[in-house]
Amino acid sequence: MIAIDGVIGHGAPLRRVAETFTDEVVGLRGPNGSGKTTLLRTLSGLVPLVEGTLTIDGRVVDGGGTFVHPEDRRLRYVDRDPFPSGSLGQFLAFPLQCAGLGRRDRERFVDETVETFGLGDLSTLSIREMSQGQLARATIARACIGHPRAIFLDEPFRGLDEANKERMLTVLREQLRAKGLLAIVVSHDPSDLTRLCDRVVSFD
Amino acid sequence: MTTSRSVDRSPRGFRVAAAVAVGLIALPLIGLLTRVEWSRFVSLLGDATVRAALWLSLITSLAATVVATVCGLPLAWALARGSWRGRSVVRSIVLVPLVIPPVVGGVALLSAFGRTNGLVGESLYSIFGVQFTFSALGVVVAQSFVALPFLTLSLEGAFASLNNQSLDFAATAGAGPWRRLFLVVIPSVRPAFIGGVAVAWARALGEFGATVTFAGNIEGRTQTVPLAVYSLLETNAPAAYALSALLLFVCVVVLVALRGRWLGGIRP
Repeated sequence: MIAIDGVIGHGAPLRRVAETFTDEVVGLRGPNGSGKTTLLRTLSGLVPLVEGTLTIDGRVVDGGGTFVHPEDRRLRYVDRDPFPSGSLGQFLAFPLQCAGLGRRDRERFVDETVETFGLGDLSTLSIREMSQGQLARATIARACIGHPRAIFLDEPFRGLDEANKERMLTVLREQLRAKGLLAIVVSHDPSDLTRLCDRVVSFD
Repeated sequence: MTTSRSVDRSPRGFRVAAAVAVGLIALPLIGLLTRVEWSRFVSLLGDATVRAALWLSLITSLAATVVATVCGLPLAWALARGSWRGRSVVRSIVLVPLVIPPVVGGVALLSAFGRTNGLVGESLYSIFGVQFTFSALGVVVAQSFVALPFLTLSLEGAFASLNNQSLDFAATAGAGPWRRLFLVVIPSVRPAFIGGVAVAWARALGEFGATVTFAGNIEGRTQTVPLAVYSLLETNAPAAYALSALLLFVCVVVLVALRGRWLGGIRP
């Protein structure tokens, strides 16, 4: 469970947020600059709270003189990878490497992810050879690989055509439910969020 | 020389001046190669003095490269990513060895690490028995002194333009500072890293002025290849030419292998 009660912003206060997230899939919508990305970055520890308190499973991770670094929170914040490289397997395994998993575990999770997300058609391509849409599929799959405690997806469907978006929405919904993960998804498209999420928070 | 864009045509006289520049660098190199007795090349390099110098140079230059990398990389990081006061002053100080005459560097090293009257050298000797002057250790210190700025300079630029999104994702996926260094930072700056290390090594290998002033020119102990070339020029000139050609060859190989990657942004 993640509970935030405080003011978020990059140095300057942006908005006050009081929310509690349990093991559920939450959508986050609102206009540009309303603080959606800043909220995800604050929760994951990339930006400190301007004021207030943030707790994860009852433990204060930000506020009152405490600040737990992002690597010790393990709340996976997923944005588009600006310089992706390597094979599909290397790309997918990266978060597992970051978490310190051994090679055998990484390979097992990669195989499982390629299977569940139906990425078999991409396995012969290098990441650089992929189209925007193919890369978006690989990025969504990578977000869910292994056993993250929570994942924050920032505009995960950018660059996907309707058919692929439909497919990824379905797989993502199944995977998030199956893993019982806490997930927060930012999107501009309200219909994506209603189809994917248990509830939607609006930053208007 | 043909240029694809007519606007890039050079002003009158440019080609002559450019040719002078090439000649100034190329002629001495060609001259050196004509003086080498190629038929005796291998046997000349087998000379005891030469072999001792080659061995010492290899060991000390590699050690200096390790020192420059292990200390220069963290410094480059602090300069590029930190926001502490005095950063610009430290940056200027670190670049000093690039511009001062190496012999002045040697004098400066003596006044800091000399066994007698050295700022810290005197206590280092009396407490730990460490002596830099007239020792291979001194050679490594002199080479590290001149090699450090090359590494720091090339890495600082690369670190400054490092992509934050990759670092952020790695951190939230559980990678601490060390793992981020090896999984994200070094792979992203690989060209600058390899180039910086290679140029630092080449600079350490060629170091003369600071070494001869600080560590001395003792055969088998502090006489590196450049020092041996200088000494041999009077006693065994053919060996000096052969050794020079070898050093030139090594440097050319390093430059060709890098293909301008160290400088970056140059049209291939």
